This record gives sequence, structure tokens and C-alpha cells, in this order.
Amino acid sequence: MQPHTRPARRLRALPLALVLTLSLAASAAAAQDLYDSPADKQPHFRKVLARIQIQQPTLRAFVQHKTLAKLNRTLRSSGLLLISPKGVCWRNETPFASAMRMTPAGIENARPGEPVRFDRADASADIQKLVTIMLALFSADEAQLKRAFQFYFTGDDTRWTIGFKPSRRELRRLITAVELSGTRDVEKIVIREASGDVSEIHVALPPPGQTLTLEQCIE
Amino acid sequence: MSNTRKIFLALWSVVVLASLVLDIRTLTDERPIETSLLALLPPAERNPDAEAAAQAHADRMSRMLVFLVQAPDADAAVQGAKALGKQLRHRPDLFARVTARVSAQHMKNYYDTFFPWRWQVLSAPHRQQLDAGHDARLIDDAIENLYAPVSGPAVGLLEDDPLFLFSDFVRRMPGLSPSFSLHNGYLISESADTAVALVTCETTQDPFGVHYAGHAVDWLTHATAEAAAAAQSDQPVLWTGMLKYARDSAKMAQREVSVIGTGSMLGIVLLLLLVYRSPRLLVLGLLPLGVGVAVAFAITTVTLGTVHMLTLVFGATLAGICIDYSLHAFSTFAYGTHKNLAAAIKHIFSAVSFGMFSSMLGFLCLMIAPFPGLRQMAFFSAVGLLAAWSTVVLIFPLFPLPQRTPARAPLKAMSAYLALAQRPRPRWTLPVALVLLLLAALPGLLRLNFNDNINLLRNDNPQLTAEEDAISELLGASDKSRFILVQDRDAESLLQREEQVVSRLQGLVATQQLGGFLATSQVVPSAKRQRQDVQRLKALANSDAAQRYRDLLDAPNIFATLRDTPADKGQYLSPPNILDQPAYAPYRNLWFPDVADGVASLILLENIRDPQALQAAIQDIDHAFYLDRVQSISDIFRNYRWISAWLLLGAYTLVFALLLKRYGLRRGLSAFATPLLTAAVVLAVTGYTGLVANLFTFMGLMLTLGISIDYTIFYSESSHQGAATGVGVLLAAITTMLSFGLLSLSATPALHAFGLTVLTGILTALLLAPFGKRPHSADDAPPASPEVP
Repeated sequence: MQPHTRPARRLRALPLALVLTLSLAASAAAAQDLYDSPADKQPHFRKVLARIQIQQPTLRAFVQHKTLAKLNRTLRSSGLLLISPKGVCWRNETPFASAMRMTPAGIENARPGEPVRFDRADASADIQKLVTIMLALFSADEAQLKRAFQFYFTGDDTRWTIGFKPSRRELRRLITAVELSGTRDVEKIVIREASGDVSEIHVALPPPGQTLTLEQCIE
Repeated sequence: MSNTRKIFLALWSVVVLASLVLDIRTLTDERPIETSLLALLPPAERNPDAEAAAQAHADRMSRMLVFLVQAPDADAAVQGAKALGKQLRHRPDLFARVTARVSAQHMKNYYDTFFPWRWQVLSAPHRQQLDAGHDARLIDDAIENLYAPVSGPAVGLLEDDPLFLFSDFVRRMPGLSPSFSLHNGYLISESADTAVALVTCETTQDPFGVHYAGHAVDWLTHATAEAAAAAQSDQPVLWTGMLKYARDSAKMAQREVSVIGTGSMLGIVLLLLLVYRSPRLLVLGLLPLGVGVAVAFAITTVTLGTVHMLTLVFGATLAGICIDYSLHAFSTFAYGTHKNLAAAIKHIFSAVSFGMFSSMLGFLCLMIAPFPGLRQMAFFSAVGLLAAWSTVVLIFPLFPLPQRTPARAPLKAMSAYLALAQRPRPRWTLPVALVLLLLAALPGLLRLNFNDNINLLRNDNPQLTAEEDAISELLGASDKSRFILVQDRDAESLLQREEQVVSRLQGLVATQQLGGFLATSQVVPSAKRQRQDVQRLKALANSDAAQRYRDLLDAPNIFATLRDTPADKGQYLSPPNILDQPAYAPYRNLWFPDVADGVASLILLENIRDPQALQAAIQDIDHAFYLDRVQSISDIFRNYRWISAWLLLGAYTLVFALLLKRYGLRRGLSAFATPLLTAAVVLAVTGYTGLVANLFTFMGLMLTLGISIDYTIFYSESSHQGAATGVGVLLAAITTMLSFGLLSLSATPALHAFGLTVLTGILTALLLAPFGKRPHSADDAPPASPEVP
């Protein structure tokens, strides 16, 4: 695929990457009283947050169930998720093939037989903002994350749920909440959109022998 | 007193009184002087309609003010922007259309304005997909969006907009700065350790209004300081707009007028007191000067509508010329044998009249050029000279001043210099000296460096330029002087023609010969294109890809709204219908509904890297014009430099003919040598010193011709009173050099060059003029001059 600069799907890619970033590597269950428990009052929060940091490239398989509130339909998709300190790769395999690579330079989208579309971070404040949040997440920079979200936490370090609620009006128009849950690692991500749509993404170990690098993501 | 004289006196009184009344009225107006640079420039000769549209665009944009509130972080920047917005809204007398926070109502306006037209108004990437025949990719994009973990609020409109055309269109509307994003309703641009908030507004009045500009800028200085405090920032609020430049220019002009005018006036007062030792002569001497400036200001305002600040600065130097007539009269009276001033005036009448006539000739030559700035300066000066001359010849004789004992030193000095200049010499001396001087000047003439750039008229304030650059870097700025103008008979034809231009520009952007552009048809395509797009989308809705989409969503009627678009009822979105909508505000200034019995639109350009390629790309499209205001004005400057060079040659020829007629061949040649050599010396000095030569150099030469011929004539007409005339000329030259020397201090490069040219010219003319005087007889040879004690 030839690199090709076209600002297509910019905003769609933005929240997608945001969610990917938040997911890191996960699983768990959400607690009902999550949003009554601000994270700064929970003793296990920082320990869990530190544990789910990505220090080296981590490959996971994902299965997503997305419920469209408007049509009362659930769409299922699956693929691979690679998280590395240099960026993130979301590779959709079913029901169609597509790939997205997000790095500090920007976001690249690819579909088989089509040119790669590249949204440069230095050409858009939206992309730049996303990249900033991503870097903050990878480095567990709580100060940066607090500029965009309020944190909530329930459970302990063996079974937990972290909730993120956007503190900025613009992000609230897009997402009402993001929940990560798991035992040791992140196992499930729930994204609740302002439109009423809900995505549940289950994350697990990839099939044995499966490899993927950031460079191979959109090849 | 003769009846004719009485009539002239009455006429003089009426004109002076009326001028004073008019001046008082003008000076109490909101805009007593013009400060806009554009008012000085001639209209483009090729396409006046295009120029009118470009000018209208510039006028609209001139009211815009942009503020950047700097802060340590986004939240603080919001606080600063909130404070500034509140302050600006509290002064509806000064500012309008204040935009600090992007309201929900404003966001809704995008929906109200464009959503009904979503099938007809597409984003550039969507149209590119359709143009390239990749229609199915629109379906793939929509599916991928639905499968994305976050699809965005557009999914809420899925049943009406299944391909998310509207959200994509609004998101990609051109002309919005990508450096800014919304933060709690405010437009913020963030970097590692700073954030800036964007606030805009418009001035409620003409930014060139002197009183308004002064008041508004002073108030803004205070308001922006408070906003910076609210943003907890030690960095100032950056802001730019024509208001700031207008205020700066007016202040600079006022400063220069007072420095040059006061300096010139002080010099004159001191000279008169020192030389003539008479306060009464001093008061009388200043009268022609005051009358000259007052009448020139009034008649120029009445005739040309307004007086430009540069004219006023130029006009301040008029003092140096107006006083010449007084000085010549006083010297003749003080150092001569005339019993009173009236007799002295009678004696010099022909000399000052001939001098005034020749100077006016120089100025009137400048008026031939259709250059508003030049014409105004020339007209102002010519009227001022006429008024000063009439004051000397009509009013001075009414004052029976007693003889005083003037200072003798100037007389002695001039007697000695005249003795040197008029020492008997062989006949070949003058021609040989002339040739030698011209030969010495030749290398300097060959080294003349011409520069006709319009920026010579600007006095850039580096602080304002730096601030504007900083703002442009964040906001991205279209080229301010280069546009494309498209014209046609109606909106639809115009949009179709513009689309042709836009497709060429897209090619230039792809090859990086152009950074970008902003055109109306990018937002509102022609009805023809809207119809085509709907047809293609309808074909897409019947494709296999669309069926796959229906099956996926289990929504067989997902494309139902495509069956009943406005285009199906013959309705199309058109700029005139949405010009007043807030969502269309960034494009409003590109549309001109009434230009030359039709309509016109401007296309703004960014980062023009290859202007030739740009011109070539659109040259075969009728009624599409590439306008380069800077280049076209600079071209006009160059053309008028040549024209003024020819005019100067013509003026020299005319003066030569007049001198020949009055003095005959030998004396005429002698008299003519001074202005000719003066011009050669001025140009040679300009070349040797590496100063640039331009239209203003030739304007200076024109003035120099007028003044140098004055000196020559004063000497030639002085008969036996050579030394007294010499004192008059010396004093006149000193006062003129004083005023033009001060003009060379002007921050405006054109005035600076002009001042230096005239300064050099006057000095040369002062030194050379006595050599042009040939003794009438042995009796009036200087050594035997009776007036030297």
C-alpha cells in the first residue's frame, strides 16, 4: 500500500485510537457503583494503573460487540491489537479487513487494495491532542490524563474496574464513559457513546505463533 | 491702490477665510486625514472590476480583529478568553460580532444551514472518491465507521444520513484553522507548555477614523492586559488587525509632521530673527507659509475629497519653499536701497513670479501621472506655492516697514562667494567644467540601483509585524495581496467557472506549487455539480455495495431520504441564500453579488510557491484573473518612474526653452547649467552611495528642478543686487534643506529617499547657482557692489 495523505476519517480514527489507548491490555467486570468511587480515594488504583502500563510490545486478540442504539443491532468484529511504546495497531480481520496504525506522527488507515490514508498529527489539533493523550497513557502520566478525564475505581488489585469520565464538554459529546476491567491485565473495555451506542471489547491472548509488529500493521 | 489690486486682495481674503473655516471643519471630523496606504495607489489598469472586488474584500477584512490569549494551560486560556470576550461585549459602541465561545446555537446553525442539503453538498474527499469512480468506498467507509469502537454522534443521524455525508462535510469545511480545537466551548491551540485561546471581533467603525482608532486601541490596551491577568499569564495578549496598523500609522504621521513641521518652523524663526533682527519681519515672513499650508489643505480636501497623511508629511516641507519668497523679498529690502518693502516687492516681482511659475510647472508635471498619491502631493504643493506667492505680492506691500540694520555676516559671505563664482574666466571654462562634472557623475549614474517595490510606502513597525507573524503562524494566513478573481453573469455560471479554476488549483496543490486555497465552490458547489452528485449517489444506492449495507443493518429503507432530495424538486444550495448564516461566515467575504452587472468571487491563496505556474494554470479560463496587488502596484511604480523620467526631461526642455527666450543663448545656457548639473549630481550621489532610485527620486528631482531654477532666476534677475539676492537664496536654501533634511528622517522609505534627493539637490543648486549669473556690466560686478559696507 502506498502512503497517501488524505485527511479522511479523521474524527472517526480519533476516538477509535483513544479507546485503543485506554484499553492497553485488559479484562474484568464493571462495578455498579463505579462512578460513586473516585479513583483518588481508592488505595489500589495507582497500583493497578502502574501494572497495566505497557513497557514492551504486547499483542492481543480482540472481539468487539457493538450495539447500535438507533437500529437496535449488534455488530460483531474481531482482529488483533498491538500496543507498543511507539504506537498502537488495530487490525480488523472479520467481518472485513482493515488496519489502523497510530504513532506520534499521526494516524494511518488502510484497507486492502486502497492507498493508505495518513492524518498527520502536526496538521491537526485534534490528532495532536489524541497523540498527547496516548503518550500520557503509555507513560502513565496521570497529570496529563487528568486534563481530559475524571478517574473512578472499584475493586482491588485482583479484580478491578477503572472508569474514565470525560471532563471536557467536547469529549462528553462523543463519549459518556470508558470502563476498563480485569484481573491481572485488562480483559474488557466498555465504551459508552453519547449517541447511546455501546461497544464491549473483550481482549485475550492471540493464537499461538501469531506475530505482528507496528511496521507490519498496514503492510 | 489700483482697482485690479483691490479685486485681487478681496479675492485673496475670501479664499484665505474660506480655507480657514474649511480647515477647522475638516480637522474636527472623525477622519480628518486619510491614512490608508491603498488610497494613494492607482487602480489596476487591466481590470478595474477585479480591483474593486479586491478592494471591497480588503475593506471588509480591515474591520476584523484577532486576539490570541496566551496562558500556561488550556483552562487558564479559557479564563482569559472569557474575560476578554466579556469586556469586548461591554463596548458595543466600539466592537461588534465578538466571538469568544462557540455556542451550542452556533453549532446548531451548521445543522440548520447544511443538513437539508447533505446529498448535494459533499466534502472534498467524498467528491474525490466519486470523481475517481470509487463510489463503493463511501459505503465501505460508512461500514467501517459503524464497526469502530467509537463512531461519534453522526450515528444518531444514521437513518437520514446513512453515509455520514453531513458530518464529514462539516468536519472538513475549508478555511478553518486545524491548529485549534474546542476546549469547553473555546477555540484553543495547545503546545507542550502553553495554550492560546482565539477571540475575534469586528470594529464598529472605520478603523482609519483617527479618533475612533485612538480610543479603541487605548481601550484594548487596558482590556487585553486584564485578559492576560485573568489567564494567569505573564505573556501579553497578541492581537492584530487593520485598526492597530491604522493607529500606528496615524501616530507616526503625527509625530513626523510635528517633528518636521516644528523643526522647519524653528529653523525659519531663528534664521529670520538672526538675520533680519526684526520681530515684525518674522511675523510677516511666516504669513505666506501659514496661508500656503492652510489654503493647500482646504482646497485639496475640497477638490480631492481628503488629504492623505503622506501628503501632509510631504506638505510640511512646503514650509521650506513658501518661505523662499519672503526671504527673497526681505533680503532685497533689508540689504538693498529700496525705501520700503513695497518697492522691494516690485523689484523682485518678476523673479519670484517666474520662480513660482517654474516650480509650479514641476509640480504640475507630476499631476499628469494618474497616480492618486502623486497627484495629491503635487496638487497640494502647487496650491500652497500659489497661495504663498500671492500673499507675498499682495499683502507684503501693505506693510510700510521701517528700514532696520540686518546682520552683515551673510552678506559678506555671499559677496565673497559671488566674487569667486563670477571671477572673470575664459569662455571655455563653463563648458569644460560642465563636461568634467558630467564625466565624474557618469560612473555614479551607471551604478544607479532601481527599486520600485510598493513597500517603499510602508513604514513597518517591527513589533506589529512580529505580532502578526506569530498570529499567522498559528492561524494560517491567506496571502493578503494575491488572489484569483472570477466573474460571471449570475451565481450559477460563476460557480461553474470557479469549479474549473478550483480543479486547476488542486493540481497545483498536488505538485506543491501552491500551499492551499479557499473558494466558495468548495463549500457550495454549482447546481450542475449538486445535480451530478445526487445522480451518482442514487446510482450508488442501487449498487451491490449498498445492498450489502442494507443487509448488514437490516434496514431496507436506509437510503429512503435519497429518493426525495431538494435537487429532485429543482432546489439547490446557493451562496446568496446562506450569506447571513453564522456557519457560512468564513466564506461570506469571498462573494460579491454586484460587480459589473454580474457577480464575482475571490479565491484566497496560501503559500504561492510558483506564481508563474499559477498564472499559466488559469490563463485559458475566461473571466478568471490572478491579481497580485503588490506586483501590479510595483509595476505601476516602475512604469511611472519611466513616465516621470520623461516628464522630467520634458520639464527640463520647457525650462530651457523659457530661459533661452528670456535670456538669449549665452545667458540662457549659463542659467540652465545649474538645474542640469544639479540633477546629474543628485543621481550620481544616489548611485555612488548605493541608495535605491525610484519614482520618488524622480519626484525629488522634479522639485529640485523647480527650486534650482528659482535660485538661478533670482540671481539672473537680481541685476546689481547680487549679494542681497545671494543672502535670500542662502537663507531659502538653508530653510529648505532644514525641512527636507528632516524629511529624510521619515520612517517611510519613500519620503526618506525623497528627502535625501532634494537635500542633495538644494545643496548642489545653492553652490552652483551663482556660477550661472553672468554680470550685466562692469558696474554690477560683485567686488564693486555698493551694498557691501
